[in-house]
Amino acid sequence: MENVVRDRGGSATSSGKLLTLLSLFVMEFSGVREEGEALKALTSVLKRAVDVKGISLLDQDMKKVTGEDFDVQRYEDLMKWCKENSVSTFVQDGDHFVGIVPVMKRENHFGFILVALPNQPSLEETETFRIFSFLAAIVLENIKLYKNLEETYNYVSNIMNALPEAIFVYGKDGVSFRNRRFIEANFPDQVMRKAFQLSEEVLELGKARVGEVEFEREYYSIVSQPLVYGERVFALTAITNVTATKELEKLRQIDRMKTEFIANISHELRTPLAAIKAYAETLVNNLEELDVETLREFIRIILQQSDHLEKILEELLDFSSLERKSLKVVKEEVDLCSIIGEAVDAMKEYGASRGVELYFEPRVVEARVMGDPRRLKQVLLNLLSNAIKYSKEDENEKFARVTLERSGNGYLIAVEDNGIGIPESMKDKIFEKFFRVDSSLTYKVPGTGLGLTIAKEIVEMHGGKIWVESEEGKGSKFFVWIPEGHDGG
Amino acid sequence: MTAAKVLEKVIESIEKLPSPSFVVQRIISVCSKPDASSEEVARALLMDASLSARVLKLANSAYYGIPRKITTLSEAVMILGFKTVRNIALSVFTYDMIFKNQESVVDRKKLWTHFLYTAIVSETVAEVVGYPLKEEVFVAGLLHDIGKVVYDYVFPKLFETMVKIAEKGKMNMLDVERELGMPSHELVGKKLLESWNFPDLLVFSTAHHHSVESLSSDFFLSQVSMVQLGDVLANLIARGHSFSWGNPILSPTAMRTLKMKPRLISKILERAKVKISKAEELMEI
Repeated sequence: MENVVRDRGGSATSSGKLLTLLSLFVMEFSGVREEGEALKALTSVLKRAVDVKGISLLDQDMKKVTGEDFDVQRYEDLMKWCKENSVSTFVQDGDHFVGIVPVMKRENHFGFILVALPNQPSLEETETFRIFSFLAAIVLENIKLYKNLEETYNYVSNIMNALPEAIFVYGKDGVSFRNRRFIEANFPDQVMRKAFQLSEEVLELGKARVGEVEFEREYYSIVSQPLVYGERVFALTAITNVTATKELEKLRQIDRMKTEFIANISHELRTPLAAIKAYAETLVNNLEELDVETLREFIRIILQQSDHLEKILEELLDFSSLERKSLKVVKEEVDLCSIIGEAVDAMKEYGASRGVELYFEPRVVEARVMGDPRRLKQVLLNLLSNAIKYSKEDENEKFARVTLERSGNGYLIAVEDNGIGIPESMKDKIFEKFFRVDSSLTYKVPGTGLGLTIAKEIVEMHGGKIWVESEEGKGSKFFVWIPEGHDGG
Repeated sequence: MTAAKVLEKVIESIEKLPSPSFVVQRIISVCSKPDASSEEVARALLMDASLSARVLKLANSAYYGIPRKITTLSEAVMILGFKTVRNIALSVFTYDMIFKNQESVVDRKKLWTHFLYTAIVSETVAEVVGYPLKEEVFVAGLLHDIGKVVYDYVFPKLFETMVKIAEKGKMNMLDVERELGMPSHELVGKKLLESWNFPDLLVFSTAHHHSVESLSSDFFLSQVSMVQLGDVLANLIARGHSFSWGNPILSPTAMRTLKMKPRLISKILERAKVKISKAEELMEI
């Protein structure tokens, strides 16, 4: 009789019951993020599905996670067997029945469920335990996979964040990743514009692009390269502030120039010294035999070379005080006209020896400024000697012309020549210390390479400016502007 | 004889073949009833004392490896599960059917080995691909070649010749049947199981274990694919025991359906071999 009743309640309602249970499962599990939550959701579903007296959750090591207390030792053998064969089982224990359900999917074992049942389990009940623990295992496996994924992501992110380069990933929908360095760097707009432009180019061309941006004396190097992820292409762009590297490069260059300078200066000193020594020796050995004319000539050369030596040494001294920031100017009211006149006169002879004619064409009668007459004359002498030194050999009418005119609240001196000129790329560098247009080691034209550096310093100490206009092969025009009354420096 | 006529004769003869006893039928039906209790299954089994004893013996065999001694059938059902006990009962029945044949002249031990191995490997496939109802796959694997048993009953001499042709010519039994113009053992087995009113899965897996691609029901596609793979692998483990000697053919449809990869196949083989090594008691039941 009892069986008939139970039979009638059979399959029709049981499939309806299964659907209800599945719905409950979906509901209970949809909010699950943690392993513990998943196992609790599973017990909640099972409690509703089956008439249980008690239910307990155990971890992989048969330690209780939640639920009622069971005498686990009594079932340890069966639990191991269930795990090994991935099956669930039920045993009678006194007046009740105990179900052992491993929660596992393929080889992944997450734990056990122990249930105490008042009655012998029906087929449906045993299957319910099995199916739902299986579904729970899938959820648990996904949680585990998700956690692994998250860990991997965190691991990679940490690496990315630890990189000294600022990195971002750029795709069609904009920036999809920024590392910490990038966020912290907060690059100026000019730099970002260039970085985006390069990234766009990478997306378009599928090839790596590099670029450099200078902004407010800082140098940024940008490298962008294609990053293929699945079917999508991104640009992986790294921005590095290379200012320090650039500075270092500059220092290295100066160091190189200093070495060249020493080689150069030794040569500069030896030339006049050799001449002085040679003539002096001749005088000592052949004093009686030389006529007065020759004697005068020799002594004149010795004097001339000594002057030259003295000039070089003075330049060196000036330079060293310039380096030590102890170059001094003693200002008084001076007339630039007379200073220029004196300088031109002083260089006339040297000019003549190289076939260069010197002119002075003042456009004012008087040019009174506050200045150090000796220093200002030194600037003029340097500019004139350069004009003569760098004259063109095959030029027929070689000249150096100095003009002086009123300009703003000061005076403008221009020293113009028709010499060899200065290449465009070197114009900014000629005022840097040790710099010479020709490689200093060729010694084609003598000089320390310090003259213009000192001249610039002197002009600036007068509050003035020095600059050059030049065309290679045609000639140069140096400008010196001195303000009328400058009290500083 | 044309294929149609042979089939007619086969169908006529099916009635004369040993059919599942009332007890076996009762067990199958109880084990598909959701509210069945283990007591109920035990009661059904107890109606056949010999079957009960053999089931209890097998339940305690090394193959299942239960850490406790099972003393009652009800206990066996609870511990091993309804479906497993049903499978044991069906295995006993199938074994008996194969060996009851007085006229047979083929090596039926080999055939039984193939039945058992296919059942075990198919179940292992189910485990490895993560299909929870693996007991159903076990019994589908067990019965997949039942058509060959039918041939052994209906045409014992002809069947012996067919077995010899297959071995000499290194042919698959299916090709021998085709060459001789006989209906396939798939079809014959299907007719038998249909006449017994066995569950659809068993009918489909028997009818399509060599032709997964022509299976009309998508519902059973995965399960039949597991049997297909189980059959091929069982034939690799015990070569020629199925009386097929040709190259084993893995069905592309089955491989695709199961998302099978070489790595998984070696895993299935490894696991199945371990299980087979414990299945000695099932070889003679």
